[in-house]
Amino acid sequence: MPSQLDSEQTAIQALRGLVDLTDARVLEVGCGKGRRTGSYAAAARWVVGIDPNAEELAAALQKRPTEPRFHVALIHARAEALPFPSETFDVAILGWTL
Amino acid sequence: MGHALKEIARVLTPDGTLMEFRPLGTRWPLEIIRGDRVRQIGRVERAAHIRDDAACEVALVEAVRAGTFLRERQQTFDLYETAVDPSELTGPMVLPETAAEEARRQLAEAGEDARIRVRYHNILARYRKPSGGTEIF
Repeated sequence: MPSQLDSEQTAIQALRGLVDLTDARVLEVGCGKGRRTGSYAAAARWVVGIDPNAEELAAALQKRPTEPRFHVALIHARAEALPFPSETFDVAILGWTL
Repeated sequence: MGHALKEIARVLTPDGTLMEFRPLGTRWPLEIIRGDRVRQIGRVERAAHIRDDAACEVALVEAVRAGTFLRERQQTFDLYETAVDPSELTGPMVLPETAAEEARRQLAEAGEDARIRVRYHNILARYRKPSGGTEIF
């Protein structure tokens, strides 16, 4: 049985205490297996998760939220070369990434 | 790390927000939990391949000094990784086999519904991309 990382969601709770994600365009840098991506998407206008690890990204695709109100894209990319135009996002989140 | 922070600043809107959180320190409590009861049984060590938080802090301080970001607020919080058996823990830490065996013994003593967990102490900080007048590149 896999371990549960942050099943209490203390990270998203702490985050919401410092930033309002409502209607925000969010970049999640190093989304990994997408453990937190859905939590961000619940409030945001849309979320783009990037990760350089293709295996982890594949796992994130499996658990990507499917509800129509959630808008999530997952992209294989590195933080050092982001494949986006300038000034695309309102919020960038690095969680256990640097 | 420095280049990544510049890239992130580039794709953020003026006044955009960067949120960054990471585990602090190098040794984190290993605990057995059962219901509301928590008992610390030892500590785990940060895995060698994980960059230490000091290096991350240096990169962020440099980004602030360069005017790429303004540091606005910070706080700390605890985040847990919980498992039925020590072998299932996959966080950024190392649990020596001797410590894992001891944890299994104590888990068995604690009862069937007991779990083992690592308590990661984290720092969370909010940064803002300046709205203009700052040379980023």
